[in-house]
Amino acid sequence: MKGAISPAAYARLWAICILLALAVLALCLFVGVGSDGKSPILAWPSADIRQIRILRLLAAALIGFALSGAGVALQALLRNPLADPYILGISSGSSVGVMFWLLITGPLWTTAAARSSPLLQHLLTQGQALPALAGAIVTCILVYVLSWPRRREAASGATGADPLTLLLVGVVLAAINGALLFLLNSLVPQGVRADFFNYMTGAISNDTTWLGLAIAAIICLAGYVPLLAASAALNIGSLSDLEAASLGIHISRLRTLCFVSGAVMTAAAILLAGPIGFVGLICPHICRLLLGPDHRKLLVAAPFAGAIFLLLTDTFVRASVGLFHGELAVGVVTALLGGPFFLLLLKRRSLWGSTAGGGGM
Amino acid sequence: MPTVLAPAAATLAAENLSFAYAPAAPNALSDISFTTRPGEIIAIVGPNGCGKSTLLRLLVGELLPSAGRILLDSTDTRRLSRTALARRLALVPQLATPGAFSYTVREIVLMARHAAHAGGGGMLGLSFETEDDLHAADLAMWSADVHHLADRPITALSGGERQRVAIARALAQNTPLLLLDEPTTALDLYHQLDLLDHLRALAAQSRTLLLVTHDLHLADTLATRILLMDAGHLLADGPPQQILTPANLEPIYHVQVTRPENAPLTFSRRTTP
Repeated sequence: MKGAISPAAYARLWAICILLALAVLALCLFVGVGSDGKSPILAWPSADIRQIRILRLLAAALIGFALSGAGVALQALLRNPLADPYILGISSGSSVGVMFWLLITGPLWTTAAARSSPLLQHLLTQGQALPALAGAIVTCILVYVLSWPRRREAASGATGADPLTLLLVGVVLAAINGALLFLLNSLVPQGVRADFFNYMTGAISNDTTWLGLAIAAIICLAGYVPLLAASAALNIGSLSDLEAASLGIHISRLRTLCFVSGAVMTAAAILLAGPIGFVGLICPHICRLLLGPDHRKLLVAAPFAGAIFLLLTDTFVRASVGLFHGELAVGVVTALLGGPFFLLLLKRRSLWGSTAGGGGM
Repeated sequence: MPTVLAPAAATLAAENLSFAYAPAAPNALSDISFTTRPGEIIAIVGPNGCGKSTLLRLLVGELLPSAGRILLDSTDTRRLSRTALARRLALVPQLATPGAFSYTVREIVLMARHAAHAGGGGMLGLSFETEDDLHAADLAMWSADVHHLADRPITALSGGERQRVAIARALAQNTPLLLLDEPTTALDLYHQLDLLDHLRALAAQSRTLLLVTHDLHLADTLATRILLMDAGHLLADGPPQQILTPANLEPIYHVQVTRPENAPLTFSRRTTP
């Protein structure tokens, strides 16, 4: 029946999502660039290219999965369908982390280039993930701590940080991080800045390792599994605090779970690539349009939709290398596709608002 | 029409309940004590800001008492899990929020069944709906006259329809205790009378209803017991005939009240001499 969900229907949804993602993954594996290094071809790749390509595709899929899942969590947490995994300052925090890394390792980069030491260069690019993660974590913790009601109030009101405060604190910290970024930028040596630009636009690199991928996957699952278990509660959590409490939900615990899970999943994506915009916004949204707002379905469909979306866009980036001077960053493509889509949604939202008497989506 | 089995009766008690929104702030509630009995319809009345809504939020468990305790069948509600509480106590909120996402009416009503399955602060468990859940939701939607809206998004409904959905959801929870916050405000006349009939029928099944209302006529005609509150204190507790008297009402409402024999209460603004 519409509105309800049976275990069989739930299992079917899982099966469809997994099969679809695998099919797209297999298809993308065939797409490459011909020997001229420009024109796209469709062919089964040789073993060593296959190795690189599989890793990159898996990284893209994992990033999309994590960002879209985190998007669902944060939209539920903030009771706002337009929230984004980066809205709580996570991406700006990671950017500051990377910039800081470039600042302190600045001299080493020039050394690496001068001595053409691939090992040092490798360490510098791979090591970037750690300060990115640290910056994201520090910002997250700050947002949550600053949003939490004063201790004595928390004793009487059992609801925890309220969505509006979280949002405001997140926006303010993102602004502070933005200023810090400019400050650090003027301290970092010229030559290193190109690398930072590359990071900021969200490129998925060719040198992802199996170890890096496995670590990111474990972190992603650590955020995803609790979220999945709480997906029915998330439906109720999107009503008012009073209603959620009366329906048996411990709202402050649910909020904390949502926040931590969303942050952890975003961190998994940050480990593999810089901030990639709009995935966490569009994919949950498309799934909501197709399947309705039930979080039990959304938390299955949206992460897989994110994975498929990023598989396709990153494959486009690889195949279109001949059109541009070098590869586009995948974040550029998602933003170019996502921006107009987002505006279209806003437009439709205001249309619905005037006809249906409500602004909900 | 088949019916859902009424749950075993339960009693709710407040014991010297006090609450302040901040330690320095004055008490929003001071030393409130009462015990409900099965089958009672209790109207909580009093002027704006007297603490009615705060009391409701405490009873539901959204707020925790500063002093005193709330007992559900002589167990402190702080020792009960959220889900255990929600299985015995349901709420019809004053203004049912449409929420951020456009759930259908059936989805909203089925949320009432979550507490029956879930654990861990209501967070764990995917809680797939059973046949019984679907049946309970259907019955509740028929009772609150929203069955024809079952597949409509909640965001597309009017205020009164949304209030009826909230009533349906509380009915689907099938609890021995039901709290209602101004449940008739957005309802048209037909649905008001319909609701009152339903509430009386629920009380006849030994369920206890607690109703927060500004409508003293409603309190007078529907309730079997009145809790009269002012400035966070419980002033009087008893049957309507004894409590809703000019002597009790005039000082706190600052209006003139007359109670003719066998006639409804009438109010007029006090003219300053």
